[in-house]
Amino acid sequence: MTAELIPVSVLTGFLGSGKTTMLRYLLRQPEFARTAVIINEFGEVGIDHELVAASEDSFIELQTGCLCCKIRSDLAQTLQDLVRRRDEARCAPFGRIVIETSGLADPAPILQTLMTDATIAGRLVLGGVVTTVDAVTGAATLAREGVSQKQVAVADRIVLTKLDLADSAEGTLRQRLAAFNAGAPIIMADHGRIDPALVFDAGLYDPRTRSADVNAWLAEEAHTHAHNEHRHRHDAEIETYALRRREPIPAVALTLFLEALTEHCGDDMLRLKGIVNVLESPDRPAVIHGVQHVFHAPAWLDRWPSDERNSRIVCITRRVPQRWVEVLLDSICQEVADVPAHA
Amino acid sequence: MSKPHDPEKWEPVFGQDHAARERPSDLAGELLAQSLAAWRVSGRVARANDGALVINGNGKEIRIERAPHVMFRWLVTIDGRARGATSLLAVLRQVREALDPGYAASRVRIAVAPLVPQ
Repeated sequence: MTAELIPVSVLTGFLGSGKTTMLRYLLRQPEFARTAVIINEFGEVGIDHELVAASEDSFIELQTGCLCCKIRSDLAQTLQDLVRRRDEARCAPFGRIVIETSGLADPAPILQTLMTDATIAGRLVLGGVVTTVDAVTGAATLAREGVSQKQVAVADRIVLTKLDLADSAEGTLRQRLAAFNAGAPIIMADHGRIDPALVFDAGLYDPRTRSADVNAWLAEEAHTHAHNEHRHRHDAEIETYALRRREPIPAVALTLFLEALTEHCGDDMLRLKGIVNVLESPDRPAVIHGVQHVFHAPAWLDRWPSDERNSRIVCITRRVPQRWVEVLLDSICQEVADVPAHA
Repeated sequence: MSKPHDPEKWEPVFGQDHAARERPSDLAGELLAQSLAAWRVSGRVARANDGALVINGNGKEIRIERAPHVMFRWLVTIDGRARGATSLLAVLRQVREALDPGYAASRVRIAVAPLVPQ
């Protein structure tokens, strides 16, 4: 029998943005009864776990140091131990894990750990990334802190907090958030209260249906629309855009394209996700996902999720021009097509 | 997009004739120009009278043309020294290494975890 795959969601957001308050509320909801929590606190004396400990059905693992730079191997070990305890019935059979990062953490290395550690690969699957943003100080934080920009850029969901304290500048903040990550839906939290269904089932794989919800995951229509609206309002170098191609893409061209993006963009390709009409596999599209230089092997869907069969690739980048990415893909496809099959 | 390959009609070509027959496409030229912008390297791309693409930047002249033999698809000449390149990606790598001294290529790492359960 195949072991149940457990989605791991990442809750991130800058210092004081309301992560713990929201998590505390969520863990009291019935939907989150089977949730294990790992809280990463930066500093010698942790406080957040004391706040969250009110929940009786959750498990808390504490780490000291920052997950993104110091103790990535500890994260994998912690996850492995947690799953082992579950399998040995030494704790309640949780069906979801939430990692709350420290406010100063870059979430990308944490995602990469989840993607690349062989010891946890067979049991855990990457869930969504949820980023909290303080409606009062969020705009200033985004303007000042590069790590805050990255936390927003890689999000699948953005949660606005402290709206009761905010003035009328919320519209401006929304525009800034859209500039960094147009595709992530923005959800409002009222004193930490939020609809559980809206937040942590934001990954590609939906454990309830045991299937991949590609359209919701990509949200690329939102990317395209918002990108067009805010194209000239960026006050930072991070931007989001979507590539669409009607012509199927040869498998080798897709591989070369991803390789070239990695080679030349490095850490500036913050996140890439897409569904691709691969020439050699017209009925089974490939889903691709990468965080900086780490890519999943493509996942092949059994069928197209809708009638649309265009390739759609969403890129969240820092200082990587859209036109270059488009021309790169077209040039590689042209070259692959020009090479005789048996030359 | 090129025409489908017909093995019956295909003939290997060697020597200058091959290079003269195929000029780098305009798309290849645009890719090079866009690449300079993406890398934030100053320079310009122009097409020479013989069809080759020529980049002038950072005090260097780089000439890109189709290779005169089938071993390589491209010939990249940097400050008079010619090297073959098997693909446009190899051309890009050579050009960037020549123009961007601080360039360090990142390599793809493939995740061991599946994106969705298989």
